Amino acid sequence: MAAKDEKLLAVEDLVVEYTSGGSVIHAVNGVSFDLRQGETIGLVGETGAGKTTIAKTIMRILPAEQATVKNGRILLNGENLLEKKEAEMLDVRGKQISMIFQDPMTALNPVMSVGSQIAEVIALHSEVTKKEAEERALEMLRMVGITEERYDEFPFQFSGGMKQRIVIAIALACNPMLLLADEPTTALDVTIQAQVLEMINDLKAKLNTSLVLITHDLGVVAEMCDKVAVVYAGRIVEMGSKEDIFDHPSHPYTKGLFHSLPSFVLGEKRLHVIEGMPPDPSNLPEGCSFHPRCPYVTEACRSGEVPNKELTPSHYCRCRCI
Amino acid sequence: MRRYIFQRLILTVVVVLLAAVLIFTIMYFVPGDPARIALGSTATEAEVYEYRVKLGLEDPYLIQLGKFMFNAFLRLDLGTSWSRGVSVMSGLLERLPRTFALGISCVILGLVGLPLGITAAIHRGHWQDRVCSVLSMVFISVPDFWLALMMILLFSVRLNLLPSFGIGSIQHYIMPCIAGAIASIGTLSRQTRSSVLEVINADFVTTARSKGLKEKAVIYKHMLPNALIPVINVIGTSFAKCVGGIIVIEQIFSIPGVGTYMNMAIGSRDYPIIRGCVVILAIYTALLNLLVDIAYAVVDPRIKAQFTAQAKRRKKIHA
Repeated sequence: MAAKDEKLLAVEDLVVEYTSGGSVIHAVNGVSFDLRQGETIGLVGETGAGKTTIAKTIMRILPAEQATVKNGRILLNGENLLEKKEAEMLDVRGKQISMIFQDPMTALNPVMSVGSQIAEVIALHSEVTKKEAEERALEMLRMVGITEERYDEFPFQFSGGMKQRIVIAIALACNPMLLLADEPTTALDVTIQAQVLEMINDLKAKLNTSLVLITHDLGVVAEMCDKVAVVYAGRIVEMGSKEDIFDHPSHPYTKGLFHSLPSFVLGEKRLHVIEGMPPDPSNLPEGCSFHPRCPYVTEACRSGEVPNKELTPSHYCRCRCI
Repeated sequence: MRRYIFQRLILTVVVVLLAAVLIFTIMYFVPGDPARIALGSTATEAEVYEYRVKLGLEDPYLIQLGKFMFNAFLRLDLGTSWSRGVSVMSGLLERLPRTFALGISCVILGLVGLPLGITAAIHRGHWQDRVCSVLSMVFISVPDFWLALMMILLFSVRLNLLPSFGIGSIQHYIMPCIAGAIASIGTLSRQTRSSVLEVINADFVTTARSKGLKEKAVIYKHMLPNALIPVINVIGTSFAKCVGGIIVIEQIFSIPGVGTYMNMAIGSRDYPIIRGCVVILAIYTALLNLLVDIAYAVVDPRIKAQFTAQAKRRKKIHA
């Protein structure tokens, strides 16, 4: 097991592009972050900011025909996942890293019993008999709060929240070191959201798993994360501890995000919005990609690479105005 | 599950009965007088009338229909051929095995479409896909009778490799089988390709990959079981269509099966034979469909579970 202060995951200067019908889509443009054992980082940002692409790149399950990783390293316990052969990746996926997907309604195989879908991943990664795998799967079902008799039932016999529990059971079945949760609660209604999040938190604490939580819900971040990275147009524009980000938001985009949360204290009539739309990832603006929407824009913002400034030892921000 | 099969079985019986009523009605209204055809143009009106009475053709429609249905389904007697004077049932029983042998071989050969479609979908956009797609397009477009004639020209006349007509050995069945199956290979391959493509980017396939399964396991354990459910339906219909093709193909290759029997009978307005053939072919088609329905329930737990869940619930209530 890695020492407490050692990095479990380090993503360094990751660049991912998609090609679609002749045009190049710059989905991820130089993302770096790291994560210790047992820590949770929240990737926050609008739809299309590249959060899911980051997670899929870590798993190496991007569609090979359209997506290419142009640059960067992804180190898991010091080993670069991007240099591994496909056959070696098979041992990483599901065992060391696993992923929870956004939509539980479609994430499970409709013609396979839920129990055997859990047992499948266990049998794959541990040297056990079929019987033992089934017993482990039963245990996992119990752990996510589903009764054992439902082992042989099929996904269509479960509700959305229950399906997400099964997806989580599959993801955690082999005690992975790292869990990537891609908007795990977006498709669920609010009461179920709380249950699912609480369960992820409990299991994570029990198994000492690290978590990359992708979301656009700042409330979820406040509840779950140690660190937060704000993603805009494929870049991390601000990163820091939860306290850094929530108490001292520094980047204009982060400020805008917090500003657009409804406030019950002030009793405002209209919700604040960030003017404009996120940029077209196939045609990103020069300079700071947020400059067309930024209220504090200066001439310097319109060109050149924006440096990543260290505000406090753990708090970084990518803005010229600070 | 038993309940499901029982339900389908009842439906099958209803379909066969309706088919029998339909063919009887059509034959009743078809122009052309069997008595006149049998006696020739020199017979007098009185002779023709007498013959019609003898055949029962002067009875009202409902009585004729009732007699036919009663004899066919309760006494398993399809009547006597008017032109030959022998029992239709014995004539059919003699010819059925040949038609069934041809039909089943066409069905099995037609399954070649499955791997074609799967290969095309998995290698979407690559040369394998193009080869398979062009092949299936050609297979669908080629008329079976034309292909049969061309094969006879090439393999029998030019190369002298295969017999061009008759029965007797396996070689006799090679060309009829290919001609009969070609269209189903094409349709099946196209349907398989499109339904595999539908699941190839499905979320559960990504889940399967993220478990660390090998690509082969992802395809065989997760993609195909889902993709092939709609294909089963196509298999059923394309095999039913095969029956129509077989009637033509038997004629071309002079195979003495149900098809040639029926063709001959249509020329002489021999109603009992025509009705008998249609009833037999209807039973064959309905049974194929029954098999398809059962196969559906076996592979799709959503259908199976509906019925087992009902059964369980009933048991609970009784207990």
